[in-house]
Parts: sequence; C-alpha cells; structure tokens
Amino acid sequence: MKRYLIFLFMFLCFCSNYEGSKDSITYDSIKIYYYGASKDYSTKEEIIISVTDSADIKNLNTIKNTSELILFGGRKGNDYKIDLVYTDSDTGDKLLIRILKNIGLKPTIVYGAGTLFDGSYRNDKLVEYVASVIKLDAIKKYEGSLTQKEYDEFILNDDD
Amino acid sequence: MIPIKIPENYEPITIDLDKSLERATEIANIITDNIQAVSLDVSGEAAFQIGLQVEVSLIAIVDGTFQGDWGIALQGNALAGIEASLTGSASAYWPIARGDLDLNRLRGLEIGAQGSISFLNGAYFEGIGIESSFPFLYRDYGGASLGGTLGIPELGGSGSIYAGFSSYLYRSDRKE
Repeated sequence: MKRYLIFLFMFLCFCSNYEGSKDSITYDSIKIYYYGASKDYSTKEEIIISVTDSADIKNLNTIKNTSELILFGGRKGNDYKIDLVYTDSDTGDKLLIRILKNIGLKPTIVYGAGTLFDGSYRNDKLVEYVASVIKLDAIKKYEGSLTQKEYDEFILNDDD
Repeated sequence: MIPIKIPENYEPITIDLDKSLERATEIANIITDNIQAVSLDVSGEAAFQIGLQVEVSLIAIVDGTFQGDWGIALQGNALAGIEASLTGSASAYWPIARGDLDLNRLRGLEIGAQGSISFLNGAYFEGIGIESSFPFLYRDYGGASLGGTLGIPELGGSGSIYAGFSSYLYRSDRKE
C-alpha cells in the first residue's frame, strides 16, 4: 500500500503535459493564451494568439531564459494572466510559461502549470516583449470585455 | 410534544408559502448560478485552543472560461478552537472578485470557520489575495462545504476558525 502511495505521489509530481526544457531555444511554435480579469484588461473569454513571426519566436526563445528566481510573487493573476505554450515540432516537446499579474504588483513568471514544485520568477523583459506581441496597450484601451472575434478584428489587425 | 402557550391577544400571522418557496428558489439559483468550482476533500484536524489541520482536495473547475481544469491541492491550516477528527467533505466555490475562477485563484491564503455536530460537518471560507494598495488584501472567492466527520464521540461537536495556505501537487491545465 505504502509503495502504491509513493508511486502515486511521484506520478503526480512528475507527470505533466509540459515537460520541455525551459533552457532550450529550439522551440519553433508558440501559442499565447490571454485572459484579462480586471476592469482594465477584461476579456469575456480566453484569447488565443499564434506567434507566426520567426523573429518573435527566436526572441521569445532567448528572453525566456533570462528569468530571476524570486521568493514571493502574486500568483492569482487578478489583473491578467498570459500562458505561453512553446512547442518543438522535431521532438514534440512542449513548455508552458505562465505570466500572472496581480493588480498593482509586478508580473510573476511560472515555468510549468504552477504546482507546489514550480518556483516564482521575475522577467520584466519577457513580459514587455509578450505585451508588445499581443498588443496589451490596445487591449487596455478597448472599452468592454474583449472576445476572440473582437480581438482579431479590432486589436490584431489594427496597425496603429 | 412541546407545549406552546399562545397569548390571548395574539395577532394572526399569514405565511405565504408560495412566496417563501419562490424566494428560497431565487436564493438557491443565485448560489448555484455562481458556483464555478467544486472539490472533494479529506482532512485531519487536531486543536485544543490552537491546532493544525491538513487537507487534500481534488478540485475541478465546472463552469466559466476554465471549465474542465482540475488539480490536486494540499492545504495546511492553523486552527483556533476545539477539533479532533477526520473529515470527508464536498465543497463549492464561487468568485467574489472580478473574472472567472481558475486554478490560480483557488490557491494561496484562505480563511474560514468550520464546525461539526455529531457526524455532520460544515464550513464557510474565503480565499484572500494580495494587492498593492491599502488594506493590501482582497476577497477573491467564497466557498462552503458539507461533509461527514469521525471524531472523539465524547466531544459531541467541535468548531474552529482557521487561516491556511494551499498549493497544488498536480494541475491538469491542458491548453490544447
């Protein structure tokens, strides 16, 4: 019985859909999932953005490796949360990076789903880059709760 | 039989059962419409004035944007009260702050009150978040649980208030 419990515990600790190396720079596809909870960044649903520009993919590969470990960070994401899913099409490896922003606090980075075993990091450079890719300023300026359709129509295709 | 003495000059009271039932249904609908997560919990608690509680929960998001996500959480609570039991319960959670509940929100600091009479156990709790402006804390989500408890029979009942912290041992969070 004890053996099964230990096995179950190990399974839960190490079994993840996103086991790709956080240091690898060979990810060739990145999908971004944005959800705004606060009034400023509000969305009605999770907005999905595919990063298609090869320069953006290259930069997001390298910038993600410059995070610094912090002891405490707001991890509720009551302002907004952004999930980045990196995929390496050759190996099939996937890496999940979460940006969790609490109102009034600096964003916290989490590599992985965000369990007890995933530490908190700070990486303002990554947050700024992702913000520019998804046009976070335009999302903030948009009045009302944004849908995927509205994002594609008014934010993504807006060149201003 | 409980003898009830009715005063001679009593005023008749009319109870509209239909209206009462309608109001009760309305309140039940408000609660059930807002429930976005549920959990099954197992906990062990021991306190005499102060004490500790350890709880393992299987939590699932059942409504809203993040419906389908689930996780296994571990929670440790500091208790003030009298407790000596093992408890199994089911909980429901609803958002208090803006936005849909996700697994990120259902972790961290939680405060609550719990009590049991004989084998029946109930609790109300709220999740607390941190923000930069005064009072630096905000109410994030509310929750209630109902379950059964096995304790020291001589106690008859028990109760405590608590503050605790939780995190996940596992999270599903499949994005595609």
